[in-house]
Amino acid sequence: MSLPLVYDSTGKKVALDEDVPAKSFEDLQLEITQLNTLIKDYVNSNVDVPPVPTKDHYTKNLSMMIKKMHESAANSMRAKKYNDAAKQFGVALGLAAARPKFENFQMTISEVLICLVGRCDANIMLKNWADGYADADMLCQLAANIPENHLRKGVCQTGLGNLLAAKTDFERGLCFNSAHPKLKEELQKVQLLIAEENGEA
Amino acid sequence: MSQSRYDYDENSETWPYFVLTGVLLPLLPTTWSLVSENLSSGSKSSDELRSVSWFKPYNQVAQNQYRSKKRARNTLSRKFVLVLVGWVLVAAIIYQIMTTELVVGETSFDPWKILQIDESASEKVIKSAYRKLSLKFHPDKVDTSKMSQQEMDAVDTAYVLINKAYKALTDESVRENFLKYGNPDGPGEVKHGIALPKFLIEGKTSPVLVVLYVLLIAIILPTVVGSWWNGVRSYTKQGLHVDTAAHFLDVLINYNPATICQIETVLKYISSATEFQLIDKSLTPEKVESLLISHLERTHLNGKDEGLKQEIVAIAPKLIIGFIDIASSFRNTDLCLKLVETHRCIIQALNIEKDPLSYKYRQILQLPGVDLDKLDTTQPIYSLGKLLKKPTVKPEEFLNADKTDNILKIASEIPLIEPLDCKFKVTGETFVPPNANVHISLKFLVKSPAQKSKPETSKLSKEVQTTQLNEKETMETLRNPLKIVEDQPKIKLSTAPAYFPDPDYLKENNGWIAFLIVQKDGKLGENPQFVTKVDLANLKLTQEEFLESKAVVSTFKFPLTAPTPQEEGQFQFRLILRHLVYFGSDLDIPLVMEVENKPIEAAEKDLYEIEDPDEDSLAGALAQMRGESVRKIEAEYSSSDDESEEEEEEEEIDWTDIDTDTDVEEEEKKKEK
Repeated sequence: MSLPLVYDSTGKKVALDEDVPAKSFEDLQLEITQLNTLIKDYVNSNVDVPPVPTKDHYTKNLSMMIKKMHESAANSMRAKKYNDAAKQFGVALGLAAARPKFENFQMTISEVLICLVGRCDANIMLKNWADGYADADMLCQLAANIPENHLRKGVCQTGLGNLLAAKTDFERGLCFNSAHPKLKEELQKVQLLIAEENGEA
Repeated sequence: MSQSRYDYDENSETWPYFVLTGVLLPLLPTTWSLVSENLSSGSKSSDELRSVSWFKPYNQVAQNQYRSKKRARNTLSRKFVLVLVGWVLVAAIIYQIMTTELVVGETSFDPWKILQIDESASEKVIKSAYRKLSLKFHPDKVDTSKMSQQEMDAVDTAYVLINKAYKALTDESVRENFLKYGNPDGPGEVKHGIALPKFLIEGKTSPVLVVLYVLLIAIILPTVVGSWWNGVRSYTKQGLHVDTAAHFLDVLINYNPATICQIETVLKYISSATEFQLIDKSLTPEKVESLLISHLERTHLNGKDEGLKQEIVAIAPKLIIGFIDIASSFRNTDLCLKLVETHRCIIQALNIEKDPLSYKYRQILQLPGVDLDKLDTTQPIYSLGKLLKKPTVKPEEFLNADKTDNILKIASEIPLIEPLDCKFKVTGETFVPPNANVHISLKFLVKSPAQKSKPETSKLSKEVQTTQLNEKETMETLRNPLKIVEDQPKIKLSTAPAYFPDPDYLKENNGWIAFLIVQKDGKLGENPQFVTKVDLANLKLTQEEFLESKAVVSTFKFPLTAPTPQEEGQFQFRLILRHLVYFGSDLDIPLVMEVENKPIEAAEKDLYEIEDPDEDSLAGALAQMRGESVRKIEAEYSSSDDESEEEEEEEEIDWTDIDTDTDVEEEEKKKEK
């Protein structure tokens, strides 16, 4: 079976044939984008075979930039400029996610996590529940065993009015640290809210 | 006799029996299944799901059309027609048999009857009877002058028969013939009969018979078997068309974890099901999807589309249940929960993702006669409980609908779950040992949203406390721990949801679906189970009765297929119960499985126990190969051997993980040593 693909030799990219309806090839389009990203990273690495993804072959400059961005975002948080902080964390996150795909993934993930945590917190401070929830959900998928991530998700769910879901999140967080004081407190709060919503209290 | 070597059934003596057997053989079981089906549906029709009479949904006419069409399809099914034709045929054949006179063949030779004596008669009696009769029938003694030829023949035949009968009873050789062949003349000519009239075989019609046989054997039989097999093969156990199941499987294999699964996504997935094409060939997936969405948004369509919509809506929930089954084997929590949500949305005709208000007020909007446009959305009354127990404004003002009392009554009949106790339980144990068969035992109260809080367990009636709340362990419960669940009555909805066309489906699928989730990775730990048997008696209690001693406790048990982990420790789970029909009746309980390895109390030595074979015997060698324990020869123990022995034992323990008891016994033995 031949796929409706065209190759753009100048941009060194594969693309979906323009004649076919893009809607029926959504999955293919996703794979094409992924392939193009990998190829771009490969071409940029300027070597025949990309180096083994160890700590030594990790672009330190990028780490520095992310760190700086993160620091300034953290400063904004301290100064209670949450809007700025959210933006700066977002930029740092963009940098971390744009790291060449042939580099160490584990280290990339930890950088991404740090930025995501910052942005999630900034969104929570802004009561920007939907964005906060999106970040927290990602955090829970990337690092499910950190109780604070579930706390963040639960707080956003409470803000969105999904009390039962929030309760579930707090309880899941408590599985990873049953003595977490903040989680316990929030769980109690949300239980009261649920009772109130059901007309029990 | 004819030229042929065969006797034909010219008098219709045999073939009707032959055909009757052939017809009755398939007809009786088919009739039985048809009758029992109708009986069971008939008995249920008395407790038919009643839809509310005071509210007419926009699609009432289309729903009624769908239902009457379905009823007609059920009663005039092919099976029914076949059974009817079958019984008409049976009646005709029986009539034919009744009207045919049987001609007794000459083969029935009974010497005692001919001689008019008893079977136990002595030789003397036989002789005198023979004499008497032969005197009467002897051709010379009978006056034949006035007789016709026929009568003379009859007398001759009678005399010959009398002679034969006498010989059969007295002459040794003739008697032997009679005993062996039933005929004093010895073995008669062997006759072969065909249970068909002659004209069918030897006349001009014989080609017709050949053609009939060829049709039956070469065409009809293979076609029937083939189509039956195709029918079996083209539907899965869950009743999904194989192509649909393959499509769902395809969706799950290519499932992108980054997808935000929404009801719209689920509708898209199920719209490609083959079942819809079988309803009407013109239904493309896009068309099905748009019809489903128009159902969720409660918009009336014109012409044929409204009818098609009802047909689609009626089978969509079944597809979703099948999809849940497949998705759960991929442990996909998100998709499973969203599928249940979609199931409810289709049954309640609610598009909860249309706007935030539809989502927030979903519990209220599922009540018949409630409309979002009329609802006072400034009031934070999001749940049934709030509406019934502590409304911020009067329900009439909030709902702004006709017949508020009726609406509130319906709301108060929606069952909620109030958990009392939920734990992992191993039958016959007080703790959870490793490698054991475990089930989750959930004790709960069903309550109406109008009932407040829950009764203290100490206030429950003695009977409830001893039977339901604290089950006694008897031989019966040890054998079947689920018995207590099975003994509970089947859940019955009090009223049919207003917009869903097929109440029969809801009779079977109206409880909760239970998922077990592993907290560590958030994925499904087991295949889902259905909570279909629950005592709903609590719904009818008043608040006072509920809080005092009249409440009934229900039990749900979730058997786990996987055994408990081998190592001790705490394992975190979450039990999720989602109602298949109503919003707002969900439950979510965190659960901890605490696996402990308590030593088994030293049981008294069984006198009749078969001892383990000796290590150095043949039986011992075989037992070791099977991984069973053997009796060690102590004299051969030396300090250097000891280590290797222990190593061996450790190895053994590693792969004999099925039988933990022996391990413990061995360890005990070691300790004793």
